[in-house]
Amino acid sequence: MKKSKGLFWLKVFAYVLGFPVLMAYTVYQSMFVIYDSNVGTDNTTYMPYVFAGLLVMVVIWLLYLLVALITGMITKRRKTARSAYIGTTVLVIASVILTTGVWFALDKYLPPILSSATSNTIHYSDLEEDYADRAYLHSEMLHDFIEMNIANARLDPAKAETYRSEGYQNEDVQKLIKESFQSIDNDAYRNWPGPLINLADGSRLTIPVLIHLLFDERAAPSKPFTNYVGEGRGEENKDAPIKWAILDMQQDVMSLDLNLNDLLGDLTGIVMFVSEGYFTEDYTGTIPIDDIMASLATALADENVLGAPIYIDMKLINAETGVIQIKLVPNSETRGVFDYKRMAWFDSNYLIVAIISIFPLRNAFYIFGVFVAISSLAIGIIRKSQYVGKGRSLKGAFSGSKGIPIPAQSTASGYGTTSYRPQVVDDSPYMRSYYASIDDYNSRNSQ
Amino acid sequence: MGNNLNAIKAKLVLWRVLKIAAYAIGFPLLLYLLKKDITNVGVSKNGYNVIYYGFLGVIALQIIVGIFLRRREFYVRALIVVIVASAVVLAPTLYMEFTVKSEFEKLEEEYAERGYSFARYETQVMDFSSRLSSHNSASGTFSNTYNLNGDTGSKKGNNFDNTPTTSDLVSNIYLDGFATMQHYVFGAEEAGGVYSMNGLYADAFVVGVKQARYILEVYHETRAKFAADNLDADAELEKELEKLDEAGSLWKQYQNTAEYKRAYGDAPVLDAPATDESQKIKVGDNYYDPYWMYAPHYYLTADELTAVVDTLLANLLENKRVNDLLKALLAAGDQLGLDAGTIGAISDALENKNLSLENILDIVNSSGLLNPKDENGKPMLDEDGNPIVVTIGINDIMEVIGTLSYYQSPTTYPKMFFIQNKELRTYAYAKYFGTKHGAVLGTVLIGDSVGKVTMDSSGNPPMSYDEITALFNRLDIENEYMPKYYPWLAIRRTLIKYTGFVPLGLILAYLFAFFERKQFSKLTVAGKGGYR
Repeated sequence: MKKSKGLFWLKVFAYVLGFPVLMAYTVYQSMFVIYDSNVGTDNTTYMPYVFAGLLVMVVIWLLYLLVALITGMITKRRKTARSAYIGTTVLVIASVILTTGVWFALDKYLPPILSSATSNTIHYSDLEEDYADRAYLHSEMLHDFIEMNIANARLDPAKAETYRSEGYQNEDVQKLIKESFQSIDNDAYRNWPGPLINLADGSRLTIPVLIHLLFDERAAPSKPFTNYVGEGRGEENKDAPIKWAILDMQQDVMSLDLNLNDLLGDLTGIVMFVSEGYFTEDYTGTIPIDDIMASLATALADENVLGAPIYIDMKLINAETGVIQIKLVPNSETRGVFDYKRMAWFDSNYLIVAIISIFPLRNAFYIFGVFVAISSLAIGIIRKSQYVGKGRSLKGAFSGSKGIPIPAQSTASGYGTTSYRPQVVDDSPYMRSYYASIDDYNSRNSQ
Repeated sequence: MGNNLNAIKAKLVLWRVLKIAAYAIGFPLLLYLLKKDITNVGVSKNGYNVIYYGFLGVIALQIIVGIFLRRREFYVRALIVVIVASAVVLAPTLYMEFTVKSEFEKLEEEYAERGYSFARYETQVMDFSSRLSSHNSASGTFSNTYNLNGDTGSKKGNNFDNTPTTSDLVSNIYLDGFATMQHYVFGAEEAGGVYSMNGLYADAFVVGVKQARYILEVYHETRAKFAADNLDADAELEKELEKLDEAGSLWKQYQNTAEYKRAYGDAPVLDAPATDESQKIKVGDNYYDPYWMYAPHYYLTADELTAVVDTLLANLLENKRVNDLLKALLAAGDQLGLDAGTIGAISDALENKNLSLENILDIVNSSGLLNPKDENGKPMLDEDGNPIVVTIGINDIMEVIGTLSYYQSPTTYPKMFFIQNKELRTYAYAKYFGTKHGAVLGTVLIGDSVGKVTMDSSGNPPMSYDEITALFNRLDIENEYMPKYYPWLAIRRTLIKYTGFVPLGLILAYLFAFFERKQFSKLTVAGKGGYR
């Protein structure tokens, strides 16, 4: 009685050492993701998706418990060495499948889902180790998006605090993200003819390609860009579709240095002297080139060629050599959007956060999955001691599917006339003692 | 049963393990090392085949020898198998020494005639690995200089107007040709690639080593050929193109076809994108929206340019600060080399706010700014003693812009298709791909700056044609012999080190098998079994 109680507690200990320890570690790792995806908002902005990883883990654990329960019950009822060994094997295999195996499968099937959700901009390999940073980036993006759109009044400034605290849970915020992405996706990314946008993205952005991107005919924008009154739009057309420039796809300011000496030669000195005061050392109060670009856009608006303004800013880098830095500034910030890539992530917010939340499991399951296998093995051994008891050895346990063959030497010594013992009689007390005598004989014989 | 059964079983297992281990250090390990060596050498298919067939051959040989010798005594069997195995291991080395070596001597002479110094067998046996890496980096040099896409170019290449492309040369999507002219596909046999319906490379097709080589060969060799007759290929090409501008030429006739007008007419067939299928037209096998097939949609036209510049100028004059800057610059006009008349004309335009592109061109033309001057600043005179007058028009500006912004419709033939002189036509195509096509995709092949000429890279200095021919002569020759012989050299290197292990492994394997059998015989009831 005392011994069986000891075994019981030993088994409980083995159970605890397996999945629960792994789970505790995973929960600890997941906390980073949950915390990082929630920075700046008062509640869990990505509820319940940020808990997807933990949910997956609980499901896996329940499956494991189910397998443990079934194998345990079979061993307990049959009380045979054979059932104990098969049960142990099944449990160990299940533990490996449910830890390492699951991740092998996820490693195979998740990458395409992730790629298609993010238009090939986040790759699975980016997340493998860097998931917590990615979660943080996401919360930061959400924060920036809300601030940009409060500033340009696409989100009602009066409700600023509500947006900030509710984050992605807020319907207005969700709707605005969806619509902004649809606009930049349909009316920018998919709007350039043929393979041009891919050429711009790669290492082959040539001047001809840039000219194509600026001036080629494009289909008129068709997705509403709601609640935006900048760029001369009034109340009556504040929801109208909007045109995007190629620079908006990148969001970053493009800057290039222009050397007047190269362009003007000896005349540089005169130009610099005459234009003193027009070029300043900072970006404020510079020559109003943005007006020029706005008029360039106006000029082309009729032809539907270049509809989106690009702002240009200038800064004098070196007065003596006449080097001017020209900055090309996209519309993104004033319109309250990110570049295309980040808008694509943003549009798949829930899915990406859910996928990110699964990643803390990955390394834990790969590395510590072996502990679950070991604890499963320990549980199997304890079960055998508990339910099958002493004197039931492994001998011949796995030799046949229906029964256990009698060892050759037994036959030679005249014991038994049939090669197989029927398995069902395991439960008969009479047969049990009969087979025990054979086992005793075998063990005596081989000593 | 006096024997300890478990001890016998343990010994049985021990001999069995030793037998397998001994066998493994023979052929299997050798083949593994050979495969590894050949992988390192990087000579692909041929090398692997040697290993795979070698592996299968060895297994087959072992089975056959085993069947023949099944009734022989154990040690006889072992001896014969070891002899056969040694022969198999030695054979490639012997083959190399007696056959390949003499082939190398022949090749040395043959390649010397082709201007390639082919090293002796003894040298290459030692340094073939470094020769191979040198070969690979040489081939990379060409590719990097011209920013090419692999050996055969990009697999896909779409058109900006989304009309179909193909790499299948018997495809039925090609245009039918015009009048009596046969359809022409540039470099179809020599280089291949992804083509548009008009036989040009598709808009986004980035050429590979094969195409770049062919383009450069055509370009340089045609030039050299004309130069030998004291002619300039470019000038001759210009003459051919001028002929096409004459009334009644095939090109002029072609410009009157519906096919051409659909792409380059005064206006697109449709004013706006097609809204239903019936508006689309059949090209090749499929239906396309003629609105999107209109070529001027894909480049800056003279009208668009004028509109842009005029609005820009109008806006400049509206803005007081810009206006002030221009006036300040104008005040220093004489220092900038402007004469009084020009300064007056610009001042008037600024005052009346009617500065347009046309206006500016007029001012520039009437100022005589572009007229050539001699060293003393005096106007240069022509043969009749009159000053040379140079003027500029919108077409001149469009020509400059045209190198950066142009579009050749993939569903119409280019002008150069109609060039009658076949040699010059091929030359024109090569030049087009080396310059204009390459400039769009960052694979400029012809010019002072080649390869990756993009927004953030100014390209590379070109390789001279002599360098290119020498490089390809070398690569061609090396591609002939390296895949053929280098796997053998790699095999030889490993075999020489390893020959002894194969018979040793086999002898041990037989020995351990003998011991195993002996133990096994103790297990059987009648004590029978074991090797005879």
